[in-house]
Amino acid sequence: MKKLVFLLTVAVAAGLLFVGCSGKKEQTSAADMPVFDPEKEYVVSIGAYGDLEKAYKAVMDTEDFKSTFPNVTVEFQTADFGGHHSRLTTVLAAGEATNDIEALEVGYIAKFVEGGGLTNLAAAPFNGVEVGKDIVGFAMSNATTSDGSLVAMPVDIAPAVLFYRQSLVDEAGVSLENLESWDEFIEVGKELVADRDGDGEIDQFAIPNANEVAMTPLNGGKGGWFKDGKPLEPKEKFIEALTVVKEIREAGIDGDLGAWTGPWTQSFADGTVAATINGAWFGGALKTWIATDLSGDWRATRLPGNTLAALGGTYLSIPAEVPDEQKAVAWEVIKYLTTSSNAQLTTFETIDAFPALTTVFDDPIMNEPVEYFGGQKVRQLYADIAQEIPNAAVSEYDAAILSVFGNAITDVLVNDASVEESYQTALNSVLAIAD
Amino acid sequence: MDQKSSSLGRFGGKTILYAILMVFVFIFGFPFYYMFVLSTVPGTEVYRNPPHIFFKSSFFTNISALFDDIPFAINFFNSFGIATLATVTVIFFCTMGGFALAKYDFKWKKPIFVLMLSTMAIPPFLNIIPFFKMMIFFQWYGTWLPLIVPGMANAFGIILMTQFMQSSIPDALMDAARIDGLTEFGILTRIAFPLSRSGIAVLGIMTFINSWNNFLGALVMLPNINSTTLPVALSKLFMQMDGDRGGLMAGTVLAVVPLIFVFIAFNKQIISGLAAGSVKG
Repeated sequence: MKKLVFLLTVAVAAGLLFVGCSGKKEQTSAADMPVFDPEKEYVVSIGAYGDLEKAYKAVMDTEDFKSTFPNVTVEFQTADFGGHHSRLTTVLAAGEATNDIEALEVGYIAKFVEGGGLTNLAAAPFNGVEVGKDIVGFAMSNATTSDGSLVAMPVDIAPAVLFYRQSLVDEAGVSLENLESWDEFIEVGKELVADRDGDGEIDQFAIPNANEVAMTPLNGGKGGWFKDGKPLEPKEKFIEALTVVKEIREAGIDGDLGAWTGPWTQSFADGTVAATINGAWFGGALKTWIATDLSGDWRATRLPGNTLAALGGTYLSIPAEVPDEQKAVAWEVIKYLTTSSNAQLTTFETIDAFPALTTVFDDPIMNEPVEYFGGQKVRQLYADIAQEIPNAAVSEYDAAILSVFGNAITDVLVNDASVEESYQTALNSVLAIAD
Repeated sequence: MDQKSSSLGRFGGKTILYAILMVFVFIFGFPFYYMFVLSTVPGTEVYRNPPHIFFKSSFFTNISALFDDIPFAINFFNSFGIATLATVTVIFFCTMGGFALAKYDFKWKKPIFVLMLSTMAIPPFLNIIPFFKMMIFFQWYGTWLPLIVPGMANAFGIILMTQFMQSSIPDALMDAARIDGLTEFGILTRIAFPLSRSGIAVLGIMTFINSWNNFLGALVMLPNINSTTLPVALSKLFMQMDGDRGGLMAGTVLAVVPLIFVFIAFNKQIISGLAAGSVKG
């Protein structure tokens, strides 16, 4: 038995040694960093999700990209949204790198800031802050940590808007344009609730779920969780977010539909909902697969009270463990995808991912009427909102606090907890985390 | 009269029993049926309300869209190859391990068994990071090996076969074989394997299904669309803006078909294996 214990101890020690030997790689100094050589042949791999591969392949098929990178071959590892981020979490947590470039959805940035494992692109020789000077400010700030590290470069953004169906709004005799507050939205929303088939059951709601409103008064959940070092301050802001959610549910104007479920997806095409709050990218989803038959009926407008937030957006990062020579070429590809007009507009035209680069906001395409939105110039609307969204740096606590606050929203919506009680519970949890 | 009422009672009881069973058949069977229906519905109508509940005619259009979107044949081959190799090796090594623990006495037999049993209490996702590091260290990233080799002699399989072999292989038969000059390996292959067919079938089908459905392992270890398995390749279609939902559903149906065939082929052995397990403990 003693021998067995000895063998087990040796095995555990060997395991710890194995894990311990793989400490995080220090970032190479600018002077020692290899320089990208356009004459040399490179293969760059990009870890992507959803439609990104399709968009970037379209970029790589352009003459501009081919002439800029004649000897660079790009490969992709694409999965669905959840799968991609699960894989990336595993790879970074293991202190490894399996792709030279990894795409991140904005909601995951805080998580990876906490866990480390991404190259600081603000440092030389990348100088990402200078390179990204024409990228919309809030997006750059969302990828910047409180100590000034830039963990990824924004490639597309998703300013939050209120999408609505003109026909259902007209039928109800109301307007969702220029609403001055969430209270006004709730009052208008009540008019949008209807029993269309007359069976005594409500079958038309204002929005799919009250919780889609929750993060909008909080800048989409990015940063802003602390004020003067105190968490969940100013209190009124968080109380307002929880109150709006509770009032929407109590007013019975949301359909309580879980996001990305079948009924939720159907609700935008079959008239179950008249409006929804989401990032600009959702307009593309409505047009291309969710509500293809409703061309000309959907509209987009600013959120009530001109609430400003971003709900979504893609960032490109370089894992810290990528070899330096690969980092050099990966950075050149990232620079191209994020700061060239050709790449930004090609991505936009291919998958409707809204550009993060402000210099393309003046492109004529931004001012074109969009047929799907009844000829509305929605792109200009997105661009205007994008430039007004406030900056907010991410902190190591963001991911945990976002999760805690998500529980508070659930308490309010599902467990019928009071707003004050939910806020206090969330605050206690956040204080415990921050300790 | 009494006989008549008791047979009527039996008939009524059976009717109620079958009615309840039919309800359960519907609850468990309808999602499968609906999946097959959706594979025949045009991609734009997958989320239609009211939904289609009868078959439509777009199956081959959906298949064509699927083949345009992903290298389906390659992904199918990868899934089938990995699942088959995993199943064959698991059966071989776990049966050997189970045979040793069930039929031989050796030092530390009990602690080894307890140690193996205790590893089953560790949730698999906790292993994923050290597992990933080890695979990188062995330079197995991007190959089939991480999805086959580490699980070849797994604790569950060995314990299952140990329990099964303890009761299904009589010691007297092994002694007789030894007297007749059979080697220990001969006893394993010519006596233990045939007598454990039911247990092997249960282990085999569970391994095949788990391997076929292993999403996270393939996602993390196989880097590109041509090297990956069906579940990961199909996930690529999910949430694509213009991804064809009909193609996705058709792919899901094609991915399930091999599992249904495997289950049908080994149906008898599985049932008898499970039944044997239930009475023999």
